[in-house]
Amino acid sequence: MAEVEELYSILKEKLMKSELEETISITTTSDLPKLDLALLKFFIQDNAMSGIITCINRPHTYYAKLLSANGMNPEDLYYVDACSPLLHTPSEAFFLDTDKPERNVWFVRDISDLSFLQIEIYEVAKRLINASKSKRGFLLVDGLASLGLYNDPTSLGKFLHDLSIRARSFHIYMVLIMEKDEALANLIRTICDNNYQF
Amino acid sequence: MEELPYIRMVLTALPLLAFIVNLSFGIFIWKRKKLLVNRIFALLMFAFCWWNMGEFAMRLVASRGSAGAILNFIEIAIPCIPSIALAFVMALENKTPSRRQLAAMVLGPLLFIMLNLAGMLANNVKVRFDVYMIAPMNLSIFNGYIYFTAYMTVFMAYVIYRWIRFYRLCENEMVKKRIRYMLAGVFVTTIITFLTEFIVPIVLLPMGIDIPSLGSSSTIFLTSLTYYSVRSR
Repeated sequence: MAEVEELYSILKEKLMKSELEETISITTTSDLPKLDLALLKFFIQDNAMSGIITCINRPHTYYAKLLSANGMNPEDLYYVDACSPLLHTPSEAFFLDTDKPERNVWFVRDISDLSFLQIEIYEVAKRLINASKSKRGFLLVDGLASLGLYNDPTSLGKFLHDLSIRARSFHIYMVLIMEKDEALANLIRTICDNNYQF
Repeated sequence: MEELPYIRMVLTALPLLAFIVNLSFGIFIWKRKKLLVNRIFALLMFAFCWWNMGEFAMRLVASRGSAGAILNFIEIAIPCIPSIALAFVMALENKTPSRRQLAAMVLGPLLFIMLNLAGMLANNVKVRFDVYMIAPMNLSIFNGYIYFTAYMTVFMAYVIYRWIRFYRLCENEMVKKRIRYMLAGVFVTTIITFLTEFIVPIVLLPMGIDIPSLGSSSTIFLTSLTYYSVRSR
């Protein structure tokens, strides 16, 4: 918990200090769930923002539990879940029908084709803008290393480039979380307004 | 033209309505992904349809002989329902039935279907509420329907116990919330069926208390609440 608090203090000090900051990247060696929690605390608790989480490495239920356990309401967020369809427990398949979107969860069946992920994120972004009216939303993208396992660097690069432009047009604050030796580090640095290293 | 009595009209329309609801939902589930849970649930819906169709036909017939034959037809599907329900719950749990469970799921219905076809279960009908329904029977150890009632009660209680256990152990909150709706439907359907199909002919009718047979129509509750829980939002 101390590490989360430490990360949270750093984020509070650095993030969203300028109106011109719209897309950022964070390079970290910390555990991703801790950084995710610190970011969510900053966005939800401090700035009362609503947002989108891309669930590449962990299912949306993981984030829902993480938020509930820390006094935040998981229903306030939107999830683009590429993980649950892979888990595919019979009860989830029967009750949630992972081929179709839920109220605040959109499922992506195949992450080896980034166009599926792209379409779902745009759909959710439109929903977020309509729901939050004039308030600014956020988009949290992690699991880039995992996406890189299923996609070649060129398509992943195009996907991130396109996503960052759309996020700007939607006035959504986008956070890309990357590993220290991320293959696309140079590209990510050029598309982001600020690059932070923790 | 003779006017159709209101109660007869309602008692005839209800199984037909249940048939339409169950068939539509069965097709909806069948057309989803080819997963075991979906296929077993569709099978459960088709067993309900058999029961609904039989009951609807029984409300239409004019002769006692035909009504008795239809009752035998209905009681081919009813003993299979707990077995299919157990198979569905075990598929949700991602578990394979043990040999003992498999034997109970196959031999139980088979035994009661044989008893039914041999005329040892219930083939006596009587005009109640202006339509043919199951006749009152004796509470005796020589009555096969008593054993059938006991079998259905114990088996359904076991299925519901497993369902509740699965609900309590389920970690996905979204799934858990939806199981609640389905469980509510299971409870309502089971209670109405138990009361009107088993308690009434064995205990209440001989005492002069009559409630119409609504077991097959009550499946609407289970189906509608399950539909509410599985639909995407």
